[in-house]
Amino acid sequence: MQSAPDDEELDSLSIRLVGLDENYPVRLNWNDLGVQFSKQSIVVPGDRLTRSREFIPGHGTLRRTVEAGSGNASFAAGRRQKQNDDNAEDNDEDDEDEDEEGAWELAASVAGRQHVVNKLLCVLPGRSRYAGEIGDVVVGRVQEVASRRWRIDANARLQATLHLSGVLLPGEDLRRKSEEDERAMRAVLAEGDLVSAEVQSVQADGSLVLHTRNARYGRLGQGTLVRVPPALIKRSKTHFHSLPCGVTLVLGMNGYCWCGPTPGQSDVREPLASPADRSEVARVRACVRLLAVNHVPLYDTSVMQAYEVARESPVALLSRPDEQLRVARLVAEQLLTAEVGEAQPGGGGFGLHSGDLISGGALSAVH
Amino acid sequence: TRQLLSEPERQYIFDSVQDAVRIDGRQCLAYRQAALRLDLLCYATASAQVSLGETDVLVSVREEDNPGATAQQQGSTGSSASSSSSGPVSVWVDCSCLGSGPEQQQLADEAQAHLSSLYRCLRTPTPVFVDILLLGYDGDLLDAASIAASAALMRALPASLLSAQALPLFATVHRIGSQQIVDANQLEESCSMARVTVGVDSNGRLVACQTCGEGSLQFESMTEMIETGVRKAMMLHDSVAKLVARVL
Repeated sequence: MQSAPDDEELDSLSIRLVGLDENYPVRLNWNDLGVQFSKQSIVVPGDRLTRSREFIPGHGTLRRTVEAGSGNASFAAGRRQKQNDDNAEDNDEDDEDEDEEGAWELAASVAGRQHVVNKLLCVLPGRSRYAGEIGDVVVGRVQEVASRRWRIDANARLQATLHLSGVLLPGEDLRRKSEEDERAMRAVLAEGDLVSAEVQSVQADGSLVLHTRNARYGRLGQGTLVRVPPALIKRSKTHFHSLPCGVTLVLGMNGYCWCGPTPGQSDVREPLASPADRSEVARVRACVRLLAVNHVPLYDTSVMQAYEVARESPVALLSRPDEQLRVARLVAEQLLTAEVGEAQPGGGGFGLHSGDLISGGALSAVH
Repeated sequence: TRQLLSEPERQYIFDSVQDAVRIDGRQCLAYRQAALRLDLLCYATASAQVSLGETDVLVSVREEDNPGATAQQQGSTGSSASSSSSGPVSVWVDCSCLGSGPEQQQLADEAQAHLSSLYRCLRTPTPVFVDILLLGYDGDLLDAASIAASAALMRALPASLLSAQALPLFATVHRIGSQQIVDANQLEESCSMARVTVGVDSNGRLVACQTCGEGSLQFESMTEMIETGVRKAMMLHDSVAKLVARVL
């Protein structure tokens, strides 16, 4: 497998027997790269987070009482915080009087990374459905056309909605939508259409309301969708990337990534991409997949680095686990060096924060 | 299961196949790399797991020591009685890992029907149960399941029986536009209008053949696809036999 296989071999099937090959590579092990996981940052369900009362329990945590003396925690009196509970703080206030005298501690209710914002303590799960935050760029698929709204699968727990008033109709941007618009909704978006949108609000039940009231959002054309765990997408300034290799990549925060050929400037109506373009799209798609499989955070730099590393190898080879590991390992090493280099001048900026890589590594460690 | 796709996506996948650059960069007649793991389950006579891309299938083969007890058990369960009465090899497909919707159930039922008919002509001294667990699905389930099942059966059945009767395998060929493709992933399966699944035993004999899909096929293209399927199935046979021989 070390020598680059020629087309002949790629054309044929190759089955590999796992178990005989002792070191059959499956996934990137972040420990091999020298990433040290601190015991505090990675937690599994039931792990104690803190005993201090100054923290506010957030998502992914639960509060349990501690019996005096023994130090053992019992779940019975602790109140479980639902993961999608929007108002963890409110609950905290409600419970304040019940728990006044008993000692209690905060424990993790999901496996993931511990995250503290001021006094709010939460655990970000490594693998979950997309929770949604206002302003996030997402990619979704229209499931249903309902009255004055579309129901959209955005990898969230509930179907997201896109209201008719939330879309930009061609030519006319600021006007009331009439009954005719309602009747012609399928002309704008039909069932199965892929759409890039922004999260407008998160409802009380956790369902998302999307809008496409901006020229860069809207229906996606030719291309393919890749699904990755949402936790791997790094939130960045822009999620729409026109890569220099002629590929447009949309990294939706909900874990749906779309890649397609960048439409030509000369003739927009030209529907056909050339085979060379298709193979570039396939390469970028394979890069996104291989990074996701190896739990490397996804953003423009990591995808481009993977693309550069994978440039020489045939695209079909990139779906093989050993090649995926090789590329992902090189990318991870480069990202870690960049991270160390950036830490010297004072950090900040748009570079990679250690938390991002660790969150990636945490996934492989936890799952 | 057919995936909901938008028209441009469908067009893109279709055109990609026509240009012989499939969406994962493979050529039309190339399989994804498969990984085969043997003997994972201690309570089965033999077991095998095949992962073909995201498609992941775990097969356990169990020989019944006490045929009388089996008949009783089969009578009480009822649902699998029909498959066991047709031959001593009975196949059970479980898809609970994929979800419990009607689509998943249909997928499992179809696979079960196809695989039971594939092993119908196989005669074994004791009843053999082939239990198939689908762990992941990304197209080409029949091929993956039959590779795993035949690897497990090779380990489980006595050599004398295997030399007398050749084990069959499935190979599925899809037709998209003017191209034939093998090992279609879920997206390509959603775009395919017609497919031919051939069951070929290790002697190269065609033992089963089925066409499926909304589209129709011309006679020439069907024979072409059957030929491709037989050729690919023989390649699968070769690889599986070589790998299992390495363990024996």
